[in-house]
Parts: sequence; structure tokens; C-alpha cells
Amino acid sequence: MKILRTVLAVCLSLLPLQAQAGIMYLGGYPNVLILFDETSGTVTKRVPLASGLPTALRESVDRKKIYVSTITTSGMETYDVATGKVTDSFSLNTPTLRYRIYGGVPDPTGRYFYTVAQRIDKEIDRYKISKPQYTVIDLKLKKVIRAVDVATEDDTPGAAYRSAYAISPDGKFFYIFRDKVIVVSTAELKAIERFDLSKPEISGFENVNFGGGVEAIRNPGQYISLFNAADPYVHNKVFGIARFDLASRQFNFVPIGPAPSTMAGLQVTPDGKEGYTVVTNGTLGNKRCEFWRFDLGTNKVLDKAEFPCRSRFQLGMSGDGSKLYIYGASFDIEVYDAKTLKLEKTWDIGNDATMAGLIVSQ
Amino acid sequence: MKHLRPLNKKAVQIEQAQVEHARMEQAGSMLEEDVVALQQQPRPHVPMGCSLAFSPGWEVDAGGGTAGLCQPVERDIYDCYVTCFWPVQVPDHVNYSPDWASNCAVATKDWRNLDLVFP
Amino acid sequence: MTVMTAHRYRPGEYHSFAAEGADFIYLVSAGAIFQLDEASHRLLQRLEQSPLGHAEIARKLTEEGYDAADAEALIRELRFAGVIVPDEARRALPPSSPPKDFPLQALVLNITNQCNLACTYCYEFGADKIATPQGKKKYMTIDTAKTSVDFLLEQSAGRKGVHITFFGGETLMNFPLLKEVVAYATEQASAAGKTIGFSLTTNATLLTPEIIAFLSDNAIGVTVSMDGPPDLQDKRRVYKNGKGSYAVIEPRLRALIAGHKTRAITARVTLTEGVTDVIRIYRHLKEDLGFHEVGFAPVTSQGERDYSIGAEGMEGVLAQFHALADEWLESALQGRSHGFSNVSETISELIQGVHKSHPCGAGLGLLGVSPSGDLSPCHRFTDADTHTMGHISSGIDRDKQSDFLARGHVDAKYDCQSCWARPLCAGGCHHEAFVRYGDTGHANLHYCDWIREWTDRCLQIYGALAARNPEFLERFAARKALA
Repeated sequence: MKILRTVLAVCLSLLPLQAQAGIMYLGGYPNVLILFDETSGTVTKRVPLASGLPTALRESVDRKKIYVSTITTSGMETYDVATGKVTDSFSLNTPTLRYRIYGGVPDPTGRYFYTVAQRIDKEIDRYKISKPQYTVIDLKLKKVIRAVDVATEDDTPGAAYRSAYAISPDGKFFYIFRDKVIVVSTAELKAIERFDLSKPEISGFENVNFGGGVEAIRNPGQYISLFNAADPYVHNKVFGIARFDLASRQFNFVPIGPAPSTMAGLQVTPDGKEGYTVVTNGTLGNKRCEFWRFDLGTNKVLDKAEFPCRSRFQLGMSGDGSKLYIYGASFDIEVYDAKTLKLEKTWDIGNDATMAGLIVSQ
Repeated sequence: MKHLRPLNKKAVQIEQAQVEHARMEQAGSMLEEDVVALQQQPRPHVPMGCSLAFSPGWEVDAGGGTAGLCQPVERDIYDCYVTCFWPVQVPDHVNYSPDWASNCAVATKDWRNLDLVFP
Repeated sequence: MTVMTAHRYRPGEYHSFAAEGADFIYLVSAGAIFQLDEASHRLLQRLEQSPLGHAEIARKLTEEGYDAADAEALIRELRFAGVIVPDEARRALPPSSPPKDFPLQALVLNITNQCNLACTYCYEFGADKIATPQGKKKYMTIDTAKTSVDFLLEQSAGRKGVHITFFGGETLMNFPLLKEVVAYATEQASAAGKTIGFSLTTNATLLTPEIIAFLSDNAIGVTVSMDGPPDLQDKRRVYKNGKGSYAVIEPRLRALIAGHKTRAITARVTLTEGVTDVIRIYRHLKEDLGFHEVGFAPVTSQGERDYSIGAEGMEGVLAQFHALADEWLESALQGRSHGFSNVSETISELIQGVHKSHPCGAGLGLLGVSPSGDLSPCHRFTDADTHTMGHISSGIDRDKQSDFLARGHVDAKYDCQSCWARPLCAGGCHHEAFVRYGDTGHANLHYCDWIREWTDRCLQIYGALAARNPEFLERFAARKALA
């Protein structure tokens, strides 16, 4: 009896920790942040967002806050994980000024938010659209405090979006992963280095959770994901795994094989040993999707399995790395077992998911 | 002007305007963006409203067929509304109908609740 | 994400022409004339075959040997001028209407509606007349005339120079009034700090040495309505008893041309059926009689009058116009002026690069005043009840004026929208249209082909001069301002 009570007491004391684990955050239509419990497979909360439709989600470095960018009013909302409340909500737009933002990354202090944005000024007789600019949003003052035009050589179509972002642990460098990797100094908002690795094509517009979802948080100084590289003459594309050391701007790229049509980013298990992606071969009606499992120690593809995928989707992973999620472009999440790569069940989250992606808190 | 030789007063005015335009471009104050649509790879932008986007619509995918579309097609409708992808068939999220999604959270199930928007 | 469709260029709206081995374009959107160099000419020819995208054009140009920067610059230059336009470009904006308070520049004072001749084709008294003078004054009184002068000076707002043309009937039948008006107007104008010019049109039958001296002393421009050598003049320009007028005017004309040295003397020929021998008429008037300039116009008619020129007649007229145009060019290349004013007028408009919103200044900067003081858009509408636009004592009827101008705007004429000659023509004479079609806003379709042919000819002359004797064009522009 006494042992049982002790065990019970121990179990009970563990409960609060377990209650936090396994919550998925998703952006949903119309204007909600959805909290979904992985264990029970149900929606636990829908947080209304005053500033509009969420199109990007990003956890703070200390994982205590979630920053939601919204598109309707170019707004930023800050959600506090512990209290479950939106602590801040503001819009960057004024009647004569609009910004187009597509996600971004908060700096380690949580004060500034770095992104690439376009600014539209409504003048008396016309709209003036700026070039894409490296933009700093001050989350405390609730406005854009600095913006510098992207260099002309980097100003290619799609520059303002379809990018993923990361930041160095000391907040000095801000990385943009797109058709090349650009390192921007946060002090001057100028590109100081460029690497010739491009992120692979992905289906649709989803980009925010491009790699580095769960893993990057655990290891804030490192960014690991799948990239494409091409030889300079024939432009044959190969894909491989690149590990960026965000503090030193060094990276290590291991090519693995010829690049498939699209790859859905890299999801890394919590122990850092295995990675998963979805590869599509063929386009449109000939599209075939496969899960690929990587051994991150040897940088090799271990296993693959074909599965029926939807035209547009995003890949996510459960907090413990045991399940893979296929979600996006609808209200349902397909849950696949990461070991067997087979479909286990389908969850209905009750709202269409936006392209903001998915964050799993831990 | 290098290739056109102005021969009457109007033509001379055009030439002068071009010189002025070039001078302002040099000075960086000209809006190069004015002619953005004619550059080789047009910069896609959805700044002021979806009605400015020239997009084919949602009946066909990029290959001219329907196999590449989302199945069922309502899976795509919200995301495409937000990104101005089907500007003719879907309301303008930027300017006029930012709340079009408010009646219905799951388009695939409740598309009947979506408002018709008459421009 | 939006998918932008590839943009392609196509040729803009221009009329190409060639002269002296060089290629030119007349750019409709501006009324501008450019000479093309080889690169631009070839590019335009390509685009005329099929529209091409920016990248394709650049590629083709680099294949031909241009470097990338040059190719880009060429495309941009053509695009800037509107010579090439992107696929989605809407057509060029029409010329905007002049502002509502456009200041008056000239008045045509119809000092009498009586005439001593009875030319059979007269638009004022003949079968196609629109004037309704019954019950109205026959001669303008000095009061009406003075009020008209005051009206002109007041309505001319900030203009520095104004003009009065005396017209009729036969103008010289009211010469005493003309003298008084010239004196009064000169005085009033200088008091208002403006300059004033005068001119008149006459059939020359009433010229006297005294009149000639007066005209010369006061630098009054003279236009003589006359149709050519005796047989042609007397065919239609007759007295009421049918007698020809040539014998009467010949000595008077010689005296006029000899005695009036301060302004050019112009002959204005009305071509009618049987009076179409342009070259012969020109030679007689210019060389035999000594007119400085001769201008020709086919008669205004409803179409089927016995004096109307038929289609073959017009072909003949145009062929002779072309022959005279050749002469004009010859002279111009040698730096001499030629009296064929049908070319001179067009050339001076081309130099300016006019882009007309309306075919002429009628109802805008020009108004006609009838002997009784009624205002009308111009002298051709004098005394026509249908087109009265107010009275000099009460001012311009702005509603009627706007209606007239709205109808007459080139953009209101559907048929004109695709015509490259519209910057110069703008649909043609309001009066012609009214007589022919019953509507001043109707395009003068019966002349469209001939106008385009004629304008093309004048453009070729322009091109040839630009290539071989450009100084002539510069001097010409200056000279015209003084005539």
C-alpha cells in the first residue's frame, strides 16, 4: 500500500509534464491557431487571431513562445505556450502602407523578428511597390524599424517568399535558404556570404517548416536539411544533406544522389539519428510520393515506401519522432508510422489548415 | 536615342523625355518597377489585389489536365484564395473579401456555406 | 502563387513609310516622326510577322551580333517611345479635350451675307446651303462689329495675339465697315496689350486701287477665291446673269499682287466637275498671275450634285496632286518654296507633330459671327439656325458649344479609331460632315482613302527632306509662323 501510494504520488507528479507534451500547433482557417493533442488525437483549443489568417508559425529559441505571422493585416501575434494566451497582437499595415511578409525568424532575445518583406506605399495617385527588403520588425515597438533592399543579384523572382530562415545563436547572422543560401548580417542587413546550395523544389507554396522543424529547436546552433546542388556546367542536380553551423557560417554538404522532382524538407528524430522526407517523382498526373528514411550518421538512404499523397501537402513529425504527419491543403492529417512507413490513422482537425505549417511543442 | 532619329517636334519631345527618364533611373529615383511586368522573368507580385494577377484559373493544372489538381478541388480553394491564385474565380483576399473564409472552416465539407461574392 | 503569363511585344500603332532609301515611321500615339536605323527596322519587321517575348527578341538580336546590353537598350528605347507595345497594352489614349475655358484666338466676321456673284456651287447660297438668312441682317453694323471686337479681346484671356478674318457673302461689299473695324480693333488691341492680325477672303471683283493700298498698308492677308484660267473660272464662278467673272478680276488681281507686298496672297481653288485640271490651274495662277500660294479643295457637296466630282474625277485630281507634290519636293530639296499649299500646310503640321483632338479650331479657338451678331462654330455655319452658338452680346452658349465639341472629338468617331492618319485629320471638316451626313460628328468617310494617301505622300516628302535637306524643314517651320 505504501509503495503503491508512493508510486501513485510519483505518477501524479509526472502528470503536469506529460500534459504539456505532444501538442501540435497549426494555423487554420479562418483566423485561428489550432492546438491539437497528439496523444488523444483531438483539438484541444482554437485560439482566435485578431490580425487575420496565419501564414507562418515559428517557435522562439527558448520554445516558450510561438510567433504567428498573419497575412490579412500583415500582423504578428505572439502566443505564450505556458499560459495558452495570445500576449501580443499587432498589425504592420497602416491605411497607406502595407507589407507582404512570408514568415521569418525571431532573434534569440525575442525582441526582433527578421524576414524578407515587400513594402507597398499607397501614394496619392499610385501604389509604389518596393523591391524585396531585408526587414527587421521590432516586436516591442510593434513596427518595422529597419529595411534594406535585397541586393540586385539576389533579387530574382520569388525572392520574397519560398524561403526558409534561420538565425545564428548570437543573433549576428540571419540565414535565408532559397535558390541559394544567403547569409545576411543583422547589423547592416547586407548579404555577406552566399552558398550555392538550393533548397529542393517542394510542391505548393509551403515552406516554413522546411527542415529544421523539431531538430533546429533542440540544437539552436545547427541547421540540418536536404539541399540541392548543381554542377556549374551541365547543371545536373544532386541532393544531399547539409549541416550548417549557424554561428560560424561553416557548412558540410554530403551529396547522396540525383535530385528528385520535389522533396518535402527533412524531419529529424529527437535523437538526431534518423531523418525522413517525402520525395515526389513525376509531376501532375504522374506524381508518385515516397517516404525516404535517412541514417544521419552515415548520410545514406535506408528505406523508402510509396504512399498515396495529395497534390499539395506538408510533412511533419510527431514530438517523439515515432510518427510522420502528412497534412496541409485540407482539414485532415494522415498519420504514418515512422518505422513501418504505413498509414495508421487520419485525424480531422476541424478546420482547413493554412500553409503556416506545424510546430510540435515539447 | 540611338536607334530612332527624331524628325519632328513631337519626336524631339519623346527623345527629351527618354533622356530625362534615363537620368532619373541613373539617379535611382525612377521606378524601375513601373516596367516590371515586361522583364524576362516577371516578378510575381500580389500587392494591391488579386484582380491584377493574370492566372489561368482553376479548371486545369499546369499541364493542361486535371490530374495535378487537388482532389477534391475544394482542398485547394482556401490556400489559393489567400495567395491570389485564382483571381477570377475566387474573391480578392487583399482588398475586398478578407473575411471570405469566416463562414466555413473546412471548405471540403462546408463549401455550401461560402458566400458568393459579386464584384 | 500567381503564374504570370509570358509577355510579348507587338508593334505599336504607327505608319511606316520610306523615302530616299531610308525607313521611317509616323507614330500615331504622339504624331511623332522617327527615322529608323537598320536594327530597329528589322526588329519591327519581325514583330509585324508575329509578336515575340522580351527574351526571344534579345536572343535573336544577340544571334545577329548585337551584344546583350545593346539589345536591351534597343528594346527599351522602342518600348519607351511606344513604337513597340506589350501584348496587354490597351490602345494609346486619345488626345484629351481642350479645357472648357479655352481662350478664343480668332473671329471670322461675316460682315455681309450678300454677294455680287452667283457661283453655282457656293455652300452659302447653292443647293447644299445650310444657312437660313431670311429675316436676318444683310450687313453687319458697326456696333455689332465693335461688340464683336470687344468680345474677342475679352474672350481671348491671356493670349498675346488675336486674329480677325473678314468674310461674307462678298466681303468687299461692306468695305467701309472693314476699314472702321480695322481701325477700332487695332486701337482696342493695343490698349489691351495684345497684337492683332487681319485677313480676308474675296472674289476680287470689287478690288480698287484704294482698297489694295489699304490692305497693303494694314498688312491684311488676302485669299482670293478663284478657280483658274478663264474657261475654268467662268464655268461656275459667274454673275447672276451667267456671265463669267474672269475678265473682271484679272486686271484687279494683277494690281493686287503688284501692289500688296506686305503679306502673301493666296488663291483658293474649288474643284468641281469639269474643273479638275489641277496642274493647269496651278500654272496659270502661280506663274501667269503671280499668286504666292495656291490651295485646292474639292467642292463640299452632298454627293450627287451636277458639280460634284465623281470618283474617277477625284482619281485624276489626286494624280495631279501627286505631280505637284513631286515639284514641291524638288523645289524644297533645292531650298526654294513652292506655292502648292496643300503640301505646305501638311508639312507644317507634320513638323509641329500635331495630334488633333478636333479637326480644326471651330468652336474652340475660332468662332464665326454673322451680320446680326450670332455666333457659330465657324464661317461655314454662319446664319445657320441649326448651329447658332450664342450671340456676341450674350456670350457663347456653352451647352451648344460642348455638344458641338463633344461630337466633333476624334474619339467620338468610331470609324476613325483604327486610322493611322487620325492625329492629322481627326475625322475631317465639321461642315463637310454636316452637309454630307447630316451630323457634324460623322467622320468624312468619303475622303478617308484619299486623306491617307495624301498624308502618306506628304510623309514621304517629309522623309526625303529630312534625309537630304533638313535645314529646309527648320526654316520652313519658322517661315510659316510669319506668313
